[in-house]
Amino acid sequence: MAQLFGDQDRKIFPRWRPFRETLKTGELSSIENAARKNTPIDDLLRLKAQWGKNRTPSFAADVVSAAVALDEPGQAKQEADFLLKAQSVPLPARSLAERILGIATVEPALDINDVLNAQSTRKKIHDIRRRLWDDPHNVIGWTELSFFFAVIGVHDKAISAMENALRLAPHNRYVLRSAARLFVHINHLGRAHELLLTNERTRYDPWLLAAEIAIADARGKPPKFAITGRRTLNSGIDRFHVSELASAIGTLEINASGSTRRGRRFIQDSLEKPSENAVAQAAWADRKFGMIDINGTILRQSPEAKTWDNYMIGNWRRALDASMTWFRDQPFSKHPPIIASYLSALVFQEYESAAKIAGQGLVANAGDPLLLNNLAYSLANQGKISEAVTALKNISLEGLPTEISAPVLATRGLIAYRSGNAIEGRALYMEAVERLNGHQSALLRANLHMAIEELRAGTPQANVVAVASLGITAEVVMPEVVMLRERLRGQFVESRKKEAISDHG
Amino acid sequence: MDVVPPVDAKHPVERLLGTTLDGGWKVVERFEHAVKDATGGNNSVGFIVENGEGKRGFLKAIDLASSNKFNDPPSVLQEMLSAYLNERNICTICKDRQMRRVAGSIAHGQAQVDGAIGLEGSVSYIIFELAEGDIRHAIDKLDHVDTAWSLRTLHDIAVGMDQIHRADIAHLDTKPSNALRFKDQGTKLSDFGKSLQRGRASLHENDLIVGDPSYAPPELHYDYLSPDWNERRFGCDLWLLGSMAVFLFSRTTMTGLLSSEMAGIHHWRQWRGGYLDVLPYVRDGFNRAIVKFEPTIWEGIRSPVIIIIRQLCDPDPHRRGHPINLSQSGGNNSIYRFSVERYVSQFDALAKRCELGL
Repeated sequence: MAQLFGDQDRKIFPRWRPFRETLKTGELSSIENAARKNTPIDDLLRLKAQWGKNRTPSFAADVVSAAVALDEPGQAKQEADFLLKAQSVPLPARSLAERILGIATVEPALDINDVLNAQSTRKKIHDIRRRLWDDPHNVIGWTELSFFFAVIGVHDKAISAMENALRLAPHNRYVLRSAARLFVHINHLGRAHELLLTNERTRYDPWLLAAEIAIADARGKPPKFAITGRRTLNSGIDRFHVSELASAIGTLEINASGSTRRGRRFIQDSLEKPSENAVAQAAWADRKFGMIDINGTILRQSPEAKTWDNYMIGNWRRALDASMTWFRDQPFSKHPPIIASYLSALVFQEYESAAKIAGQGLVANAGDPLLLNNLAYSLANQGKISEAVTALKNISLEGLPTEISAPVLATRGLIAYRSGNAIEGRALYMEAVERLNGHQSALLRANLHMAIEELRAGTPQANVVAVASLGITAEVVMPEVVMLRERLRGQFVESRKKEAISDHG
Repeated sequence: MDVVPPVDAKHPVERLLGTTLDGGWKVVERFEHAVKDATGGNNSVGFIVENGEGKRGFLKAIDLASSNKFNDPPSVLQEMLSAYLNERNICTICKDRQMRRVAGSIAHGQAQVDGAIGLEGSVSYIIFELAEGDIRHAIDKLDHVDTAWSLRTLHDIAVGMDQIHRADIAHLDTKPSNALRFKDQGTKLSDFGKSLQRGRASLHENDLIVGDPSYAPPELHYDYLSPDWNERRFGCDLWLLGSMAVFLFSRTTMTGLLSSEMAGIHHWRQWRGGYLDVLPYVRDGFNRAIVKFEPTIWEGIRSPVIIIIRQLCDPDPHRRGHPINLSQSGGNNSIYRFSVERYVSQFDALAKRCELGL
């Protein structure tokens, strides 16, 4: 059974993206107020006067270059226009002229759209390595190299690249947040925390304070900078820069002090000018504790929040689309491929696509039992029984939490049914159902799945199991349960029709 | 060389025309292009002068009387005189040391023009070698700018820079308009109006950006001024030399290219944090600029030229310069650390390679 338990717990760990993507979020701007600095343009005006007397490409190019250097594009329109019409002007000069005239195209450094393609990611790694060969002090290059190694699940190289970045720029926000996220991703929470605890920049930077508090919270340790963080919230810094900090303090309030009311207040404050991550955290808090006011425009800023919002109301297609956007945004994270493969398999019965998504998720998260489970479920539904068995082969249920062990048992049950062993299938499903005691939605779904498999296998007990499942879910309004119930009802009606025909025959 | 606004005919400096100065130099015509003076204003006027042997020169006259146009004439006058003396001093050093790649002064002096008395009639001047134009004129006259020509020009400029550095002088305003072409003599570095000599007090000593800001290295735009004189001044010259290479191959400057590759939030006009904080982003922009610039260089010499530019224009002033100099100077900022001597040899070798078609 493909399974999803929703986002039980969420910490506002830093997001980790390639540099150009992170730039777009605005989180790398300076905390200080950014009034535009004046630069004298007397020299530029002199260059323009020279161009007035020497209307040639070299003089025009000199003006254009100076205007771009001083970020005064309005001063060089005429010269830029001249340059674009002139012959044999080298490309960089043309490109600056186009920029002056506002016709330059902005190319992304790294195309994030194909980040889920392992081959293309390997090509990116190759390109970045070449860039680093030319400039080994390129901090951004090392951080991105680490990112793409994490995306393809090569953790030792991801760590080594990140260590280089940390050596070169130990106090840089982008590097520190990326490093912290890497260590969280590979379950080195202690290392992630230590990195922030010992860095002198953390106490001054709200983005790092937020990360320290969230990681300490995840470790179950008291954050070192909670008081500093609270003080920073009221220090007059632009609300965007403290949105994740407010969110982290709010989450900590709920988790550590049990004060849902105070926690909600901080999280609500984080929405004044939120980062994407702060929106996702607030949407999670709202699902879990309610009473957070998030308007639709803000919610749509976060593909993660959009995924869960659509999922909760059974808007499956939108949920799947949003989950894929979320996956492309955080391609090393296991959470988006889990929900995307789940929706694709269970709701849309697009098993090939679901297997592909689960497979992509497993690249960065090798051995993740839920992704393996969703992969096995999708393979079994395609009739690829031996591959499905292989996918689940190495999962030991010992020590696994119910949220993982129950779906694995159910999928093993499904494989048994599909292998013609209904007795074993039923037993495995029953064991899953037993483990799911207390998890109402999952338990009902397991029941419905088992009934569907009984009907499919045409066992003597099929009708009884189906009727019982339809009965216990009749009043349930949870979208997934409703969707599965209707599927079972359809199959049950079909099965009865076939029986009737065969009786008459 | 720059264009000056028309000068008031009543001004004594304008009355120089037709006069004969010490050394037999006759002021024969106004020069359309004049050097902007070291105060950064347009208080100097250019003339063509000629001596009895028919040798022509460029005269830069300081319009001391123009100080009256300002609110605080005594301080402006002091500034102008100080700038003039600084330039004259540097020109004298260059002349005494016979720097062959520096457009040096031929003479300097003081003239008293007719019809005015005291300060009103006093004109200080420096006479320079007369150039054919700057490298932009030369580029525009060539049918095509070949790599050998660009490298030879770079070599000439590097030699000029090396010569002044050996005299503890930082040029600080190396740019296309200050790289002058002389008939049969190649290119020479000119205009010492903004130059500083180590250990000698100057008006601009404490300025962040001394030369033209549109060519200045990024650390200065981000208000980072190294406490070490060599690093902040010779380091700036290295950047400017690298930027000249960029101009010769691409008609852009490294400062322009870098600016175009910087995200708005990290651009020097926007950023309010420290330079070390923004440096990784500047370096990213720099690497992107290099990628854009690279194809303009002929493949045969692309790799060594790019390596040179990377070293000269490293956005981190602590890493700027030749790696051997960096390692051998043992981390201290001795003048050797910023020496351009190795680049002189490299540009020469590369130019020869291209000239011989190797």
